[in-house]
Amino acid sequence: MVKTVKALGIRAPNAGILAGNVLRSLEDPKEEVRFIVSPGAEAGMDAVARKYGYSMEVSRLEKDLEIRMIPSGKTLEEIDVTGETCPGPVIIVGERLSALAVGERLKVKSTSPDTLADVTVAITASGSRILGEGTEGDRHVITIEKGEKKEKTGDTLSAANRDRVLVVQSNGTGNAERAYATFIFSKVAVSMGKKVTIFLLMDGVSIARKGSAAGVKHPAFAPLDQLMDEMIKAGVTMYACELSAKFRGMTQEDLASGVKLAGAATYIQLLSDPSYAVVNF
Amino acid sequence: MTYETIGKELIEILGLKGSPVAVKLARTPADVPAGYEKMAKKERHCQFVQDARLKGVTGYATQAEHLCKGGAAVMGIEPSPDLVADGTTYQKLGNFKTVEGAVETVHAIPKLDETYYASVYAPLDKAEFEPDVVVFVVTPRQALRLSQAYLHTSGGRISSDYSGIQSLCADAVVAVRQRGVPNMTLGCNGSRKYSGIAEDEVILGFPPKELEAMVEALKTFRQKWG
Amino acid sequence: MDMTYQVIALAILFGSIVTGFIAFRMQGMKLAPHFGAIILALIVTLAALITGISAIAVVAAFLQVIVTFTAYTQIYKILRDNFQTAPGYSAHLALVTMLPVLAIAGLLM
Repeated sequence: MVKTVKALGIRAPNAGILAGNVLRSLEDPKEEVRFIVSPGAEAGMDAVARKYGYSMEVSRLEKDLEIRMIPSGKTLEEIDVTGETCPGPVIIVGERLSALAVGERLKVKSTSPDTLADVTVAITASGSRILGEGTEGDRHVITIEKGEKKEKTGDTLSAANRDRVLVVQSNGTGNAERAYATFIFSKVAVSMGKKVTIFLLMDGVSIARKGSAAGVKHPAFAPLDQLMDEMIKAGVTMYACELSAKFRGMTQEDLASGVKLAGAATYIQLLSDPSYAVVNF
Repeated sequence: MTYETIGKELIEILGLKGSPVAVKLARTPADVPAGYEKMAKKERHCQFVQDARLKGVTGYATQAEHLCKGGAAVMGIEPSPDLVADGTTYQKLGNFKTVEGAVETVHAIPKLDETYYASVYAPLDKAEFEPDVVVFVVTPRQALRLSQAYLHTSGGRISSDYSGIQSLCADAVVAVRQRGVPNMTLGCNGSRKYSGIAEDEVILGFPPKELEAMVEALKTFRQKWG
Repeated sequence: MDMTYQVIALAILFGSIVTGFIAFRMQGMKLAPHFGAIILALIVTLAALITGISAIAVVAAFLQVIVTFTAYTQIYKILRDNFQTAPGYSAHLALVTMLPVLAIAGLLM
C-alpha cells in the first residue's frame, strides 16, 4: 500500500517535522508514503527517513518533488514472465497491476526484451509508468509504477481518445484459431483498460449458439465457452448479427447468455464511432 | 472510550465553549449515517461546523447544501471553480498581489482528488459515526493544552501550515484527513465573517484515533498543573 | 468377393489421413473418435487385402462405415452453422462420404 501526502508550500524544516509526524502516525508500518512537496522542502528529510527506518527516494513530478519513503526491508514484488507466449505476459502483468494501489511498484523480468517492450506499451496505455530498465543476469528487467488511469475529459470523439475496441468476427466454431482470437484479443484489450465490444456476424454467430463454444478446444487454451464467459463477466458487450443468426436458424433464445441480437444499424453505429479501434478476425 | 465520553470529557476538562465537532466525508449516499438528514439551509462548511459546535446540529450537506464552492471543492464535493483555480478570485479579493501568487497558494491548498457525495457533521459527544477528523474551535490557551496533549505520548514537535484562506475546510479537515496528523489554522476572512469564529479563537483539527490518549494526557495536566 | 473396392477404400483412407489432419487443425486440434476410426479402418482394410480373408474384409467394411458416421457426428454442428468455413472441410467430407458405397459394393459384389 502507498499513502500519498500532499505537503506543498511547506518549507524545510517544517516539511520534515510534518513528515516525521506522518510516519510516526501510520496505521501500517509497512506502508510506503509519498510526500509531494515543493522544491527545497526535501532538506532534512533524509534524516527523518533514517530516524524512522525508511529509505528515501526523490524524483521530479512536473514542478513539484515526490519524496518516497520506503520502509526498510520492504522488497519489491517481482514477476518473471520468461517462457510465456504472447498474450500471456501482458495479461499476467495486467492482472497483477490491477490488484495494486496507485503508486505501488512491480518488477517484471524476462529473457526476451520484445516481451517487455509489449508489456511497456500495454501498461503505459493505461496510465502507469516505467521507472527504470536494466538487466539482471540473463533477464531483462523493467520496474513499473502503477498510475491512475487518466480520465478522458472534454471531447471524447477526438481520434486520439480511442479507448474502445470493436472486435468484428465473421468466422465461427469451424475455425478454431480465429474463434479463439476473438476472446484472447479481447482479454488483452481489457487488461489494457479498453472497453471492448464484440460483434459476431456470418459464421461468427455460431460461437454464440448455446452449447457450441463448449465443443471448441485448442490444446493451449481452455474451452472456448470458458473464455467467452470470462469476457462477458469482465464487462465485454457481445452482439450477434440478427440476419446471420436467422440464416442459421437461430433466435435470441438460441444464444448463450450474455449475447444480444443486434441489427445492421447497431453495427454501423459501432463502426462509425471514432472512439472505437476496429479489428477483424 | 466512546466518542460520547471523549467529547464530554474534553468539554469539561478544557472548559470548551460548545463541543468538538466530528466531521466525516461520505463517498456515496450509503456512507451517510442512518437517520441523518440534509442540513435545512444552504450554508458554508464553516457555518455547518459552528452549528454543530454551538447548537448541537447534526446532519449532512451535499453539493446542493454547500453555499461556499471553495470549501465544497477542496472536500471533493464539487469541482473547483475555474476562477478560484486560476487565481483570479483570490487576487481580486485582495489576498494576493498577483495572480501568480494566488495560483501558488491555490496549487498548494490541501485538496481531495476523489469525489465525495457529502460532508457529515455532529457534535463529538453525539456522533454516531466514525469521524474522519475532529475539529476544535478554541482559545489559544485551550489550543496549547490540546497540542501538549497530542505530544504527551511521543514528544516531538507539531508543524502546522495554513495560508489565510479556506481554513476550516482545507486546513482543519482535508489536511488532517489526508496526513493523519493534527493541524492548526487561524481561520480565514470567510469563516471569521460568516460563521462567527471569535477574535480570540483559533481552529485545530485532530485525527480521531489520537483523542483517547489526549484525554488521558489532559487529565494528567489538570492534576499536575491545575 | 471383389477386392478392388477395398483397394479403392484403402486409397481413400490414406487420403483422408491427410485431409483429416488439415481439417482437425482448423477445428482446434480436438482429437476425437473419428481419428481412431480412420486408423483402425486403415489397418483392418490393409489386413483384409493382404490376407484375403473375407471375415476381415467384412469387419473392414463395417469400420469404414463407422469412419463416415463419426466424421458427420463430429462435424455436424460446424457444418450447420459455418456456411463460409464449411468448404474448408469439404475435401475430407467428400472422401469419407465415399466409403459407405465402396464398403457395401465390396460386400455385395
